[in-house]
Amino acid sequence: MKPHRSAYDSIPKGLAYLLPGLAVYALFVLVPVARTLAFSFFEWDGLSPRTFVGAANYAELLRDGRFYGSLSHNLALVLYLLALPGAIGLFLAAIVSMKDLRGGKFFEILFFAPQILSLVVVSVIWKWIYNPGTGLIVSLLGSVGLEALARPWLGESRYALGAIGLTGTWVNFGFAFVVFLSGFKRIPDSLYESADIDGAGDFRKFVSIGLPLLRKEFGLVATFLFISSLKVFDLVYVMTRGGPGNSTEVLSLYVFKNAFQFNRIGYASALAVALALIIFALSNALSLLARKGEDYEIA
Amino acid sequence: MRSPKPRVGSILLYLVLLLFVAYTVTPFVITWFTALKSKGELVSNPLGPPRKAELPNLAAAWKQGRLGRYSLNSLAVALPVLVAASLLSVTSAYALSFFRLPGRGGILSLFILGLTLPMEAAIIQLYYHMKSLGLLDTLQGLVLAQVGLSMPFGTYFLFTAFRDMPRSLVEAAEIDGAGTWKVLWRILLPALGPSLTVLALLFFIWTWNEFLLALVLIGADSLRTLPVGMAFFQGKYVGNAPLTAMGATIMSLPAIVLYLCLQRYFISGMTAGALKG
Repeated sequence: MKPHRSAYDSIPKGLAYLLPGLAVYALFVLVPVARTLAFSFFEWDGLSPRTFVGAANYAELLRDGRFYGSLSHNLALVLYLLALPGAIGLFLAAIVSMKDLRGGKFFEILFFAPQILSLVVVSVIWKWIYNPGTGLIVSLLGSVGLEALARPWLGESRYALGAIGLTGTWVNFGFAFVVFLSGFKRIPDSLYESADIDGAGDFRKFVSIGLPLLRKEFGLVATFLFISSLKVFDLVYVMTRGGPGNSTEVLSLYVFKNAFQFNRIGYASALAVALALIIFALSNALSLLARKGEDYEIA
Repeated sequence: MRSPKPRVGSILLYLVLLLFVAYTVTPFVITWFTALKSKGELVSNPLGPPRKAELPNLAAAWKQGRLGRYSLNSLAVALPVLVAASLLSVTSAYALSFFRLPGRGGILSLFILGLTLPMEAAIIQLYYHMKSLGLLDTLQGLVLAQVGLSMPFGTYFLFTAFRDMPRSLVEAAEIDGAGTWKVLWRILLPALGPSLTVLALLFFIWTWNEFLLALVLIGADSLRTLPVGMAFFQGKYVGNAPLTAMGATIMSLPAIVLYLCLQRYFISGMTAGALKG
């Protein structure tokens, strides 16, 4: 039996708290997303009346070489935005924590710093670093007499995607470092000590104790950096606009160009829906992996 | 692990770490150096610190480059977003965690859905939506869109924080006669601790750095925010590395100072915020 009717049972009161936020979210996110989904079945140039075309946009997408090209560039960027920074972050976190080095906090603050910068600033800085005339790399090469090795890194399709990717590596490895370092801190010293007694070397301890206990951290780093590889826009837009040719075009940029430059709203909508589905599927798969890792957590 | 290790090994590992310190810091430092050089000095002295600080670069970027205008616009967007998005996240999360609302599980999943949606799924129609509302090319439109896009993370973040609080806290206050508004402000928010600060800081930095939305929704140069203004600025002064570097410095220094003062909040918040993706 309830002593009195709680105000928290009042539906009007609850709605009064819920609705303002929900309304802004619905009006400026949910409605546009629903309309994107609807418009993906139309052909529309943004001005004249739209025509219903059924699944034609999706059929076109499946035949569109430029769509696959963009997707393949996103996947290549996973190497630079996830694999490379993940490996660097893991390695550095392992030596700081397993070797009990001092200054962990200092390295954390420093390596994480690029994360707070606007990616536009990052792009501007690195565009200049790669500049073949006065840039940092060409100046460094010149100071040791190797200026012959310099290339217009962002201007040649062979190097441009890698050059953008390495900029992302610089931004992301500190994130991986911070996450992995906090993971290592969870591992009790006693586990290592018993391994010491067994005479295990550092590498053995890292592989057989460290890695299995870090599954949650692997899941977090993989999910976040994978999604950021699929969503990447600012870096590419500012550094190359997808060029030279289409050699650095990524999905988000291809959506943007279809919507706001080629005036193909329907097709852009279908591309956007495809991008959302790819991200949704992959992030769910990866967070499943991360959640599985929690079983291993030590209380 | 704790046993004394040969010193040589540790020194070698520190050298590896220092290498990555240099990797992280060099782009910053070289940008600051370049920002203070004249174009002539950059040719003769591309790597070292500036021999004589070329201060007119600052005025040129601020005035002709219009970075002063863009900074004000960015503040005029980021501050209202910080306040409105924090407030609305608090109230929706409060409703979803403490009130017995029918269908609240479904509403919560609606917010969670927004965590993984890429901006591209909303941006195309957001453009036409804003156009029909007469909000295209206005800072108010940009603020509203940013607040909407901030709701999923804010609501979910505070929902998990509220969920970890003991319900007895609220029940005791209610028995004492406190209304739901008073419970929220006097009891729950103080008990949240740094979570709300972290959230406000994240909203601020995300909005401050946001590019695509501002690129699409704002056309007039006089209304551009810093990231969009900077993107056009570097295109215009493409042959003038010191001026571009000065622009990058003006944009990054405030963020770095803020970060150094509040780094604990930034790091814990942004790793938690990784959920937002």
